[in-house]
Amino acid sequence: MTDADVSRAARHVVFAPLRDGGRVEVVARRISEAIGLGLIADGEQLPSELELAGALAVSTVTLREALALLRQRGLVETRRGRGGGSFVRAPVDASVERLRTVLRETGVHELREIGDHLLAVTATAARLAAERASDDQIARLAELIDQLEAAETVGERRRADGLFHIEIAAAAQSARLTRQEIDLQGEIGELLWIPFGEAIERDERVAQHRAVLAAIADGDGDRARRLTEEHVELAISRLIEFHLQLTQSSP
Amino acid sequence: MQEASPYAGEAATTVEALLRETFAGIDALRELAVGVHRDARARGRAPTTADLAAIRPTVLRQLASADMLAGTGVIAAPGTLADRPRWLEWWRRSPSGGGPRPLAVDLDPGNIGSYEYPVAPWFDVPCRTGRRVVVGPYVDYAGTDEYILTFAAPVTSDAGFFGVAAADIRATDIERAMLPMLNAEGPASLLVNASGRVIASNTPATIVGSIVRRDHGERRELTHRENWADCTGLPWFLVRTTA
Repeated sequence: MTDADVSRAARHVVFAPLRDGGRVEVVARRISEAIGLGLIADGEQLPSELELAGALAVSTVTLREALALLRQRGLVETRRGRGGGSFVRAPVDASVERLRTVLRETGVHELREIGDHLLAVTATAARLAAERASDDQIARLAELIDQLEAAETVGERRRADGLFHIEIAAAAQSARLTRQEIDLQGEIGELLWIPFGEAIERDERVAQHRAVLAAIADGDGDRARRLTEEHVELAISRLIEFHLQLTQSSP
Repeated sequence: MQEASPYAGEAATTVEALLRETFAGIDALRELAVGVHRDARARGRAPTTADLAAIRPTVLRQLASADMLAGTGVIAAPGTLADRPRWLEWWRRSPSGGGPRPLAVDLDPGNIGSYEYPVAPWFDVPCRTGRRVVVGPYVDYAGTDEYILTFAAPVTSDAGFFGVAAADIRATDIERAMLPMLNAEGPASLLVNASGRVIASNTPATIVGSIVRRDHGERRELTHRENWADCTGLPWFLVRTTA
């Protein structure tokens, strides 16, 4: 398998028309995820703006704004002149490479099994926490969301995210659910935070955590459960999507 | 809001005895740990994990003789020991029986499963305030992973703050010990901690771990304020739900 093969296959997956409205953020995320998942390699040149906009079915204005965002995040650099264009900058360390391999080799069925288990444990814990969390525990949960929002490294994000769910299970006063949540976070946590291929982006995740915590603080168990279910289902469906992209790009 | 009146019945005696006995064991460990800290300082160095192991025979003796102890020991404040950044000289009895074992936990703060004890209330309160503390019931995740209550006191001397001496009791053991007293009080009686969490109850309507509001039933203080003025997390209450 040559790099060119990967690239062609990856483009087929990555640069398919966007169905979700073609907002700048959505375009930027699609490209960023492809870089994070290694579907587009470090140093590789992106197709021309016109070609890319056509493939993604968005306007060139939207595409340019998306590329500007990616430049800001240091994922793309634009060179002027002959041989110029937009190039991917994605220095990859061994741990990211390992995570991509794990995600490629974890089948859809297995991801769904983990997801179903996570759904049962995490959402039930949220419902019970709404009945049983003390004020101290609610304050600790708010602190963990602030930590996630301020986290600089992938490791810190993953930790603050995982601890939020573990702390909810502890606030539910259930040692069994807490133990299972710890195991599940250990199993799936790092896959949810592949750099630039985050299953749920940090800001979106922070907003979802805040909504869950508000429901817990209100003592509204049904709402806490429903919001947590949506949160978990979104993360797992994104992981399955990433897995399928990875398998399609490597024959 | 209804003010809680003190209560002098059998329930108060039972709870007072439990607290006294538990803190007596903790005080013995606290004195030994202060000795370890002072001796090392007198030699112009920081204590080591080997120095702290001097408390071990007392820890094991307490575990063997007390009815309800799930675990006990001394937890060093981060940075106080010469050879380890964080350390617990902590032994526990397994709920399934067998001899006492040292608590094995992940002390690397970078890991998701690590035991972040410096932020745990049973460590943080004595460290920050110098007060004793009663915490729980709570899920001690990444530590014992059990549903427990922790009683803790600061290990402080002229050598400074060294850490915390503490003891764990399983929620299920406290419940078993308190049920006869609750049953004697009548149906729908609850033992409730200072933040309103039920420690034990004899009614399925309001069970261990749930939170009751301040206006829930008739509420009386089980612990005497004058005995526990330096202890955070008290009083505990007896709550009678009136039908």
